[in-house]
Amino acid sequence: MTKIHLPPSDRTPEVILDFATGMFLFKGESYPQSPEAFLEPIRIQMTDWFKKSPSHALNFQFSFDYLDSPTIKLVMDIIEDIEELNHHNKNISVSWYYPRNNKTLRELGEEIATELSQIRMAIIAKD
Amino acid sequence: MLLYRYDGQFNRDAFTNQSIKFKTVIRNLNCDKQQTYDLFSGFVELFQNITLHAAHKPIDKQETSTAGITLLHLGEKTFILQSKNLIAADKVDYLREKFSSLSTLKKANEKAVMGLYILNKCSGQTLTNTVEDSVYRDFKTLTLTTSIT
Repeated sequence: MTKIHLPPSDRTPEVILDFATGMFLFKGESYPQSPEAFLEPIRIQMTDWFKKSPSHALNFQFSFDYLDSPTIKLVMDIIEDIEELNHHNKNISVSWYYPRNNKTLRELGEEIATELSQIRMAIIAKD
Repeated sequence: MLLYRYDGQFNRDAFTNQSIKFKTVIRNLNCDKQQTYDLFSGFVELFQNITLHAAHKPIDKQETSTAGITLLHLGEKTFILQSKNLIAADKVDYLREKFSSLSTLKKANEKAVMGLYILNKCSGQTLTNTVEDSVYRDFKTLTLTTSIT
């Protein structure tokens, strides 16, 4: 298993888990009918791989155009996993892309970033 | 002016249908992207809040709805999103405690109140709640109101 690619749907984001390069992308709108059924298996696959490849360079990109509160909770769980991983792996980058002029998503990214004690999350406007 | 009203079943299938209808309504309002985002976000969180947390009335659960969401246009770019649903009377204190913790996103409470937190945020901290007696014993009516400008 080197790469998982879930294309976007009306209510779920595009997800790319590229285990060869260590790039993990979540992009688009996320308000799944069953948030945990959609996102929790992804989280489990990521964390299982982290344990097997603890020093691989990792690049996480969260690029949501819309996300509901259950998705936010699961994203925060994933970010907590990343921070835990950071105790063993210092080669981790995390980026939060928000639509330019979307204050809500920008502030949400900023608030999540302040909760991180080990990792700096870049907050980047996108067009 | 009433722009949208829904007072049917609150479940995942209804959410799928109603989210499409609500999106259509707000797309026709010619709001800017931020306001469109906040209106949709408010709708999703209200709908999910009712689906997950509303109490059902005691006997004839399916016959008439005791929950609903409305979108009102007050003029210019001011909109009111409001939901009503039953809650168990013994949950009122718990709910008030949740509301009191909404002002900031802190790890200690963020996940328990995330839906309400997002509602408050997308409405510029204007989320209000009222709890009134309902016609059903042991149940109260909760009204959540947000102003999105």
